[in-house]
Amino acid sequence: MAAMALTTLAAPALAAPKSQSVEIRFAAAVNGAPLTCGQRYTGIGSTGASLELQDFRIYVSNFRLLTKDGKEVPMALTPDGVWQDDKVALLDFENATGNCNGNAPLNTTIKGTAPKGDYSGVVFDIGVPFEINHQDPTLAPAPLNLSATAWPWRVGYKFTTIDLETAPAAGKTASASGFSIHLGSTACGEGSWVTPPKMACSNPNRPEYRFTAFNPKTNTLVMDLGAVLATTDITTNAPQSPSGCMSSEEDNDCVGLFDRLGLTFRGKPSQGQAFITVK
Amino acid sequence: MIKRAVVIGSIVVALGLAGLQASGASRVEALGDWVESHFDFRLPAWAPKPLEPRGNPTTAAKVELGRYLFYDTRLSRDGSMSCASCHEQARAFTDGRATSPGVTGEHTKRNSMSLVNSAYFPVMTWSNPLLHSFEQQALVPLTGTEPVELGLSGREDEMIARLKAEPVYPALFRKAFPREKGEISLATVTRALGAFQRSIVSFRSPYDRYRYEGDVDAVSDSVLRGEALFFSEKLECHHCHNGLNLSDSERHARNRLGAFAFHNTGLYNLDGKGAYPPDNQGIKEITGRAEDMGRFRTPSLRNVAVTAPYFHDGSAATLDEVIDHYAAGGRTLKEGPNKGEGRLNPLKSSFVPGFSLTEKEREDLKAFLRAQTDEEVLRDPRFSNPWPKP
Repeated sequence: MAAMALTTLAAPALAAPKSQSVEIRFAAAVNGAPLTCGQRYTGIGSTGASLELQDFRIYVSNFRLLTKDGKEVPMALTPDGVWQDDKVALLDFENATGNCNGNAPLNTTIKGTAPKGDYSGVVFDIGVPFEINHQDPTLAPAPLNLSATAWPWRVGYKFTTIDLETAPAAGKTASASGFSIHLGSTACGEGSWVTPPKMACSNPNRPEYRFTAFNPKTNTLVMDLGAVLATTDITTNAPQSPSGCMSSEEDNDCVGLFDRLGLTFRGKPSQGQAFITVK
Repeated sequence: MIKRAVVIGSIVVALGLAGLQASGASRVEALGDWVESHFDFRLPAWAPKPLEPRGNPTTAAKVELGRYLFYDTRLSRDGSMSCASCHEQARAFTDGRATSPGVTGEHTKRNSMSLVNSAYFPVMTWSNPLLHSFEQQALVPLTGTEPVELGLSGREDEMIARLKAEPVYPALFRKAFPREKGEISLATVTRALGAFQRSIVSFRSPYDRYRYEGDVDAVSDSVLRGEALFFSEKLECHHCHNGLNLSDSERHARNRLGAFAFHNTGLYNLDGKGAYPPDNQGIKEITGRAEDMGRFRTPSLRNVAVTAPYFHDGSAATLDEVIDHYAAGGRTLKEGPNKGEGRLNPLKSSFVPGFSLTEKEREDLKAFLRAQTDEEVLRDPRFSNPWPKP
């Protein structure tokens, strides 16, 4: 009897799934206030300027969960034909209202699976992995099928499509009325803008974010635009450079921003990312 | 008694239906959600299919009927105009005019848009974020009153009567709308027009052959240099003109969610605060939001070399004028009612900062734009006038 009971008890345990579903929730904020289209936010950056959202879409990839003893366990993304395939997912915080361009649906949760276990942390990258980063958006599958988040394919996708309308604080002047944060790979070699590079780009610009105290069931990862722009003047644009920071090494608008995104810029390592926190 | 009651009942029902028909009620089902079309658009293998409303599947019979209607002057109040009056095939279904006169001579406020590949746009016209389908859009030229175009407002029944009297139509409508028993109504007319417009697709430009089919001989070195300029951060064209139609508004079978975008490109600045001419202010006219002043949909650049004049109001006559506008980072008008410095429009997109081009670079950029012309779609018999010449 005892043996039989053991067998029957053991059988369901063997048949039970060895993986579990995991959801990683994200939120976007401006100095702690929820970020939405159609809202003006004040006190931004080094000049206390104001901003209004036009676009906020971010590619994330390379998710790993951390066990209590610090081991990284890969999390597999669940392809859904719209927001994520097995290698990359798109977070979308614009709903095409207010001054925002894009489309109505939001996507703030990454869905995947991981081996059954107890996890206490998460690691991931902002960016599109190199092997799928350099392709024609017209031919690419979701979520790389959007012309709004595409760049010429030599440099690959915009990892962050963040476009802002800006205005100076009272009594201050401005020389620019918009600021973009287009993070992407640079120095991808010579050649046509519409062919992929032969070798990896010198500046991949895929920041890694690591949180050792994160419980997927109770925590959210908050991307804060106010925090990442804290040292940047969003109402001026460096001469002879694209609007805001589009990742060029020549662009002075990127200096503070790259540091706070957690990226090395012009060989100078970041003092630590200030973009994402656990809440 | 019982039998008679049933008979009377049937008569009442029949009369009721006839009455509804006469007053405009229809057997036609609602458009519903957007699904992949199963029509044979003769697309190359790489090109995605358009989506279509579930309630109006594209069929060969419906496209054929739509073609007859598109070229039929019975669709105007006085029999003087058809859809094709402002959408000529040889001009990629535009009309070569800045704005177009309707049956009363009153002009439209905006430039006639190309219909080629418009099936891939999730929003119709220059500046209406609420207008999603051809079937809805057709009512604007047919029955619109500000301005009057085809002039059928309140006269739909006259148009329907004219169609019913034309010998070719009953059979065409029966084939196109078998479930609706060949109903000839505003609903079936707009659905057939929608099917025809949806069928006008083009992926046979030299640039298509080069970019998607690997034919490196399809374009010149000048086109390739122009392409590099177009996709550069120096010119910033690609921030809004990218993807299938070189626009940032698109939707298709590989991008079902789709997206659309409206931009102020600094064409005007009447008051220094960003004002556009009062009769043409972009999606502000729909949304009522001050910030939407001057925001218009990014047009497709397919066949752009044959669709002059340019911009929402046709205010640029040539591609050179368009390039001048973007190079200056906004247009300056020194005199006239619309004078002002568009470059300083506070609502201007940050992707219009201005740039400088050498003469050779300008020629290369124009060569790239000219390589977007699909000569076949300009004369493809599938899209041409089916009526015998008078």
